[in-house]
Amino acid sequence: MSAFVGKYAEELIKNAKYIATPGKGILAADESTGTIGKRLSSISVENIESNRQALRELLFTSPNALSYLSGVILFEETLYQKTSDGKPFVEVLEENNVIPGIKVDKGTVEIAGTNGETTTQGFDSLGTRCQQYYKAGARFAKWRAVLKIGPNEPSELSIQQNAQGLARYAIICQENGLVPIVEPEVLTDGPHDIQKCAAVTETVLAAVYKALNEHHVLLEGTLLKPNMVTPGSDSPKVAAEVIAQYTVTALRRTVPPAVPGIVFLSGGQSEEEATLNLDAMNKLEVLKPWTLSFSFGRALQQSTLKTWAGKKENVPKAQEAFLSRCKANSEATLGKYGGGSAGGLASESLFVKGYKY
Amino acid sequence: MSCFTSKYADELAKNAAYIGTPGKGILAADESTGTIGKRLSSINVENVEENRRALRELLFTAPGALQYLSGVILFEETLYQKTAAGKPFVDVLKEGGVLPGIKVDKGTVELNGTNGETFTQGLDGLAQRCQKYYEAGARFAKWRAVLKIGANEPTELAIQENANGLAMYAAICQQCGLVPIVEPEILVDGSHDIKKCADVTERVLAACYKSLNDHHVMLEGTLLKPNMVTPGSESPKVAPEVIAEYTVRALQRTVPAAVPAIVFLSGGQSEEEATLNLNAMNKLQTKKPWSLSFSFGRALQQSTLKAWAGKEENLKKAQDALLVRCKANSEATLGTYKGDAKLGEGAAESLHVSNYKY
Repeated sequence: MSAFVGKYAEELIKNAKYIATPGKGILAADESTGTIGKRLSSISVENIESNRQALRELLFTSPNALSYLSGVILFEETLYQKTSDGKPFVEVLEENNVIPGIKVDKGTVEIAGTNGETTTQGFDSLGTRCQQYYKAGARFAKWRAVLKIGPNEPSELSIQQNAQGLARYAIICQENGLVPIVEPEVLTDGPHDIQKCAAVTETVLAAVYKALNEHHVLLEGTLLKPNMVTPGSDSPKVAAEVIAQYTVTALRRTVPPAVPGIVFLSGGQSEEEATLNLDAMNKLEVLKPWTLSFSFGRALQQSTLKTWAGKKENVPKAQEAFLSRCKANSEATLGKYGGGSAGGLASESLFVKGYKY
Repeated sequence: MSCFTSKYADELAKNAAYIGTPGKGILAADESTGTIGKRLSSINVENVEENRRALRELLFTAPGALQYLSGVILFEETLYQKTAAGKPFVDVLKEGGVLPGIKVDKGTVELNGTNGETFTQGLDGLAQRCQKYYEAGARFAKWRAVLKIGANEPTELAIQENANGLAMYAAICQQCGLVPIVEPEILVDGSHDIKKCADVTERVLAACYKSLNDHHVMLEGTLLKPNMVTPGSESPKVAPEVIAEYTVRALQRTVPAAVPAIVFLSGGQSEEEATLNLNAMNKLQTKKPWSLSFSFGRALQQSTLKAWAGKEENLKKAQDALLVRCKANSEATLGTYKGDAKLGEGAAESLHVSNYKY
């Protein structure tokens, strides 16, 4: 094959397929210490380990929520944390048939000579780190590459660098038993229209899959985490059906059928927007050879965070808010979302300019 | 979109989808004058225009055959020919629900510094030629790129040149209303195993689709004509189910769902082999977002040619032979072929010719 078939091949294929189970999706709870700090400060909670642990415990022990999840992405610190009863988070997830995942990139740095374009770091000892994470129970990984739309962006350099970086990360993961989630996020920032976003997304995805082929990545053992195709943040919004049409067309033109599942990032979309868009995609009557699901961070946690506000007595209500979003998104993956699980908080835009995790 | 906007966009998508209709496929009757000469001489028929015309009339008027075809690829000369009764071939096809297609490449030339690798000519004035062909009734085109497997082949140069050539040709066709069939044929010649063929096929197809994206080609208005994934001609044969598995997997890994149909070339396979392999692919229970059909030349015409032998009195026998192969391949596109087609003389005969040139 042109694909690398190592000792983990069958396991990778099985896990990737499981994560892509219709009706399930991924909770992205892998905010770095710095980023989770911003979230906590927005609800006036101190950024210390016990609070970070408390938040994640709230999420992972939400009654019935885990049944709508096939995976949770963790930050390294969280991979080794436990519940207040002393049970490792990894076990909590595994007992509920949720696969633990791990963020393995080390953030972005600017590419000199470009207009603020970036490349992603994290290759040093990546293989060794993946082995350690595998031993700790992780079975998939995530690496975020970032591209932006501008008059001269994304540049060919940025596209090539990020595509090659994703491919190299992906093969190293597969060598070490982790299903790589390939995430080439094209930021929403900008005044461009949806056609421009579609053109850039198609160009970027074509480059990514060419690079994956060059690096012998086994596509059946990967997942894709792309942006939805939308107008820029400074442009008028469009209906969910329009987003669905442009997004699915872009994916049909670039993502080989061998990829088992596509798990969208939410970008700056509100909880409700993200769910409605995902639902519209799954309602679209066109042939889709991969499942379309979610890998949401902010769009799953926003109202939960606000409801919790760091107070123990708010935990049950916060967990209900979380369950509500999980269930809504699960229905969206089946094209069965009826709307109406949007509390005021769920409709709040989560857009932050030039968002860095 | 990253793809172009052309006034023909809807028509291209419609025609490409039609060609991919389950139960139908393409007859590749676009042999150049030189190549058809070899076929005719194998049955002791002189290579003159009248004989070339007579052969194609035999094919296009075979009773019941056209219903199994969605397209026929023609050589330029044939596009302007008529039946003996004076009816343009193009009209015969259209009335039979068959789209006329046209070969637009001008053959291969060697790439300097390589070990016999080639690229394909034909870009000069291509747009003007395509416009002319569209006016004459053609609605799709074909361009054959050729790669080979060897110790160091295909080289990155050969892959890039051929992928780029295919993409440029495809973009020009779409501007002129012709659905481009993208044909990156990897020759079966060699002693390599099926895994090697799969490896090379995946690499070549990935390069093709990257190039098509670079050139803003609208995939919904294209077709792919690849080789099946098989062992090399000098290697032991394998079962159709194995060929099916390797072939479909290679396509799943490289061909986006936006492509409506994949129409295989037969290479050197016998008529029956090609049909059995196609059938096995369509029986495979796995993800196939494009239809899998045929674009056969030799593998549709071999026993017909032999039955005809250039003699008018053999007309019915020859047309019956064509109908048998068309029907068998139609069933193969549905995965319902039972292997019971009446084998004409030569239907099981390998059609492999080393380093085949059209």
